[in-house]
Amino acid sequence: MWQANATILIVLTGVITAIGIDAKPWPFNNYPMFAHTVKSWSTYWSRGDVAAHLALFPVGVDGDGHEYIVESRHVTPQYPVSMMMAFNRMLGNRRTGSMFAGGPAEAGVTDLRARSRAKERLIRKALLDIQDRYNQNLMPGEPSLVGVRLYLMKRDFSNPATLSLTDAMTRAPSLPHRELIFEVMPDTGLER
Amino acid sequence: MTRQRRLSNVWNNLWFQPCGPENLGLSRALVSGLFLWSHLSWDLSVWTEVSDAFWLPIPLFRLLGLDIPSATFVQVIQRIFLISLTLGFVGLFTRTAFAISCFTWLYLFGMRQSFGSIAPAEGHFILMFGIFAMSRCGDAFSFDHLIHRLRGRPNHIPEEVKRGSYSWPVRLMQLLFVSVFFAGGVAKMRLGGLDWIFSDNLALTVQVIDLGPLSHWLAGKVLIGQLLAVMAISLELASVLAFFSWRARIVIVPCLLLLQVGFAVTMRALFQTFFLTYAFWIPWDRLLDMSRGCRSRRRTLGRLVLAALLATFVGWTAVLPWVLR
Repeated sequence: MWQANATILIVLTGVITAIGIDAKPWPFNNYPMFAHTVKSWSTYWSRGDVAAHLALFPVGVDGDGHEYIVESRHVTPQYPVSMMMAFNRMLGNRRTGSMFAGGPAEAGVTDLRARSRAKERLIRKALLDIQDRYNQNLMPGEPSLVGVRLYLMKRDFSNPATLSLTDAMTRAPSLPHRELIFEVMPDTGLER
Repeated sequence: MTRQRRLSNVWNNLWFQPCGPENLGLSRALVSGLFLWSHLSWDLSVWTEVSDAFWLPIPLFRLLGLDIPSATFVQVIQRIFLISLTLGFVGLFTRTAFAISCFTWLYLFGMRQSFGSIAPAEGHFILMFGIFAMSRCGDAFSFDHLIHRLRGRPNHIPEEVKRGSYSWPVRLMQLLFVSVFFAGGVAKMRLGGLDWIFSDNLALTVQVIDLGPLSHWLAGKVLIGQLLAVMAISLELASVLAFFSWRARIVIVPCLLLLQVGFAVTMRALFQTFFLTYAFWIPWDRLLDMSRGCRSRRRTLGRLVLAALLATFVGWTAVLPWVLR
């Protein structure tokens, strides 16, 4: 019975550690299930003291300059939320993006803009990878991409019209509450 | 009675209640069979085609110095995983099969997580395969048991029943199940506090995570949001009671199931692999006894309930995802 008792004790220790001290001893990862309040994910938008949630997302661009939402089917096995989290990590910014990131409401935007050469190389590589996979997974009638842009979206809690991420991605060109962070256009050599 | 003896009794009552092998055996076959079915068509080697810009290894991979694997390597590991899980499902070399499933799934799941994939419930299957490997889960509904009987070997089951060898794995899976919800409730109290309930938080959350019609309906309905928040947090915190009390279990587990149905309806998120772990709450042995009983009415009822439960598990994990695709 020592094997049974040892197994119980190991699992019990993992569970208690994960819950008790909010650590994440893998694979006892606790899913916080939206435990952070929405406003605690937020930071202050630099253009006015408006409480806002920041999200990073890539958008595809075709030859005519039209923008297209990057969906799971284009970049499978990745999906939009996992990409947002990945870009957060690349930019070393724990305060923006995913609903799982959390963190105090302070100075997130400053972190985001502190770009280094290494970060830029990483983001460039990731955006080009998205473009490649998007073009490989085109549906009939879909235009191929000539570039990809990475946007920062600001969701202003005082303005419900800015809250929907789907809206921001699909109506992207006309929305004022987003900011271009990075852009790669391999054919034209444009990169900023 | 000494204090040590009393503690020992409490521990044994909690984990080692005498019970037959059927509960564990049927749960093993059902959960591993449906997990196998839902992962049969997956090709995890596609992750190796993702740019290394997205690779951020989990701590275990960093510790072991594991880098992005080749597609062939992942395919080989995945085949070994599927073969071992098939053996675990049918109950042939059961313990060895689940030990291999545990390590191979640990690798495959860890690789996906290193690319930023989020599938928190699937992490528990590493533990579940490990628990199966350490337990006597192949003593019922298995080829191992059949071979044992055909060879005319002595029946060790009555002795194992007395020792509670078949109850602790089921209890441990129940603990893992409630820990998921309880951890969510504790995290909400720790990180959001009362603001998580008594503010416009939930009404805003459904808009930010974009739940379509529900988001539009709930926008501005702060009071309804607060009521839903109270219900969610109470249920999550109370979930732990289901582990200790059978009376609480009768109420709480179905409520958690309703919560999951709610997620499925509003978010189209089935969490089908997590759904499988409800199997550990069902007293399969009693239902099997009922369905084999002498009284025909009771027997019919037992068979109907068994069939309905099995159909629900198969429907939720194998049919619904296919319909919604």
